[in-house]
Amino acid sequence: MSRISSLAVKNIIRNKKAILLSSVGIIFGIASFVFFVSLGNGIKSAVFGKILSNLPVNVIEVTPKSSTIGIFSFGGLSSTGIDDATVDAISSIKGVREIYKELVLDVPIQARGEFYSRRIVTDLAATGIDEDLVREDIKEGYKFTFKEDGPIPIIVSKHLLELYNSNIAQAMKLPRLTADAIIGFKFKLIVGRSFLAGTKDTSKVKEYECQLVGFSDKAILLGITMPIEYVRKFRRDVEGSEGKEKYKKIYVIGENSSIIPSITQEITSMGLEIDKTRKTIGGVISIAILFLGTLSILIVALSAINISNTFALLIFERRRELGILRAVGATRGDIRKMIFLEASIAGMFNGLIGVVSGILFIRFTDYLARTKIPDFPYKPDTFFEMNIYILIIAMLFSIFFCTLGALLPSIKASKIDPAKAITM
Amino acid sequence: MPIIELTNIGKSFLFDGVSKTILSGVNLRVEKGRIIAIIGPSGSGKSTLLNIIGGLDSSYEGDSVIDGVRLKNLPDVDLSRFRNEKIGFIFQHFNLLDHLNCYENVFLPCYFSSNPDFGGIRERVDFLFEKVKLTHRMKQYPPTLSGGERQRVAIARALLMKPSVLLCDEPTGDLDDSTANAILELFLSIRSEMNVTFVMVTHEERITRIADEIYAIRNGGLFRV
Repeated sequence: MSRISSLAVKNIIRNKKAILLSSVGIIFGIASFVFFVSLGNGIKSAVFGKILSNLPVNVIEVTPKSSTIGIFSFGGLSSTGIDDATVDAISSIKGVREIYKELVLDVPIQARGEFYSRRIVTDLAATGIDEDLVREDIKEGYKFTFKEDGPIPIIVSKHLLELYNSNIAQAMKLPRLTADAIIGFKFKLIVGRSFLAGTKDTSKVKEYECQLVGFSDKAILLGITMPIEYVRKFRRDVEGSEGKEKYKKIYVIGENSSIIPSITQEITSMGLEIDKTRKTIGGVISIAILFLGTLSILIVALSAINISNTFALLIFERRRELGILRAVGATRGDIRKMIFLEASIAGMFNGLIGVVSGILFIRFTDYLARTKIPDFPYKPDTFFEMNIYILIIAMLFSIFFCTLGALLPSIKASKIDPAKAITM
Repeated sequence: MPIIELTNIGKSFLFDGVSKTILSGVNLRVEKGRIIAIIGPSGSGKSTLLNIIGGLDSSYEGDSVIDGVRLKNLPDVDLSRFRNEKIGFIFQHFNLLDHLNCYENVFLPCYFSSNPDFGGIRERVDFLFEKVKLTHRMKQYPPTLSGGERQRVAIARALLMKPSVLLCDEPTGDLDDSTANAILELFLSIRSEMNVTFVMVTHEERITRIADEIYAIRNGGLFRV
């Protein structure tokens, strides 16, 4: 085989121009494949890594039906919720270890404070959450627990910080912030009053001090999240009673990941919704990658016809040579092998050129995207994510389709009558 | 035991849908080390007979046994191995591959040999280049060589695998007189040193001068002259 391959290499070198010309489609297809799949991976990685963090595999987020809009949950604006009876029913499902609740603070609140020498007063949305759920997100040295005195510990969404850095800071000419720099920040929280709702009973308006103690994906997107007991307390203080609690969202922890599908099924049958945002977005991106990837492969596949034509032509031109090879002892199989090897080598080179072109195009596009597209929330450091598997698959596609293109010509070549061919 | 034994060989071709008999009832026995010349006009079937002996043509009637190998109905792999190991072809138009240098052209049969042991093959290539007096042209490509030089490269290639039979189709047809004579001298020298059997088809008289036996093809039959 190695002796035949050295012959094949010489043949490729001899016919390089014809093969290269017929390979333009394959090179283009392979470059597109590398480009689109890397782009899809990059976007997927940016969306999942920055916008949607991954929950542990044994956690399910349960919401009332249709209380999510797109990627972000706006359950706080919804009047529906999950009541205690439903929570009890869920907790009795086999395999459920724990349930954490998230409660919307439905009394008017306002925040007031100084931020880089600017006085800021704004209405706020707030939720309360079971303390244990976010324990890992609390900055060391701080506590996220209910206390009658002292500042109220609050957490905010990581997305809020990103939003601030990419939009608000620029618009208001404020410095960009890191999470560490802003932890410990204090401001006043006025409970019982807001610009939108006004003040129902001024005697019930109270002022508290809040302190930022961490960032968490489980915090409300545009607002603050505090230990759930504060929400209950404020509802009591302002409304006079706690009222019937309806939770915006509950986090159901399974005993292990394998029990999650059956728990999910039971919860769904109760008319509740499982947060499918990750799954849906992941699916959409995967379909886009699949579509563009398939389109690229289709280009490569169609280009195989070009390769086939070129090889057919080359073999027609090389009939005498093939006859000579047969005369000196080449079997039909040797001839087929030689043509296949030529096609594979051409495929390898086409793949290599395609991959390198794809990488160069990615570098160029990424450079333009990073430097010319204005900042936006969650703008990734790179729009592309390449890995060795994409490159290997691209190479294999190129070799496969080039070889496929040479299939018929190689069979035809092996059937050449040597006695006739050498007299041509 | 004869090295070539053809019995009642017949061969027909279809011309415009009409079957035309080229060879009919051809019998030939050649002993090892002999030089045989087959003469006849163009289209008489000389090259066809050569192709049958060399295993390039396997659709014929009759029986052919070359160096103990019965060629009829031999599978392609075995027939190819037979050509590789037992037959050397020398053609009028040399049939060298222009994209390979002379060394690679001579080495060509080795690419398809089923024998994995090639100890000494490079020494043999060197020896053959010395034999045909072209050592200084080894790395050159055929188009840069004269006709005589190309034919000598082709002879070296035909001898590489130590064949028992050399089949020569008009071997001096493209050469001038002095070059043709030099090639014939080379054939005689090869025969005496390597005891190779030659079957040459030609319509040139000078070849018949070195032949031990001369045959003529007439009306599809082979006759000793």
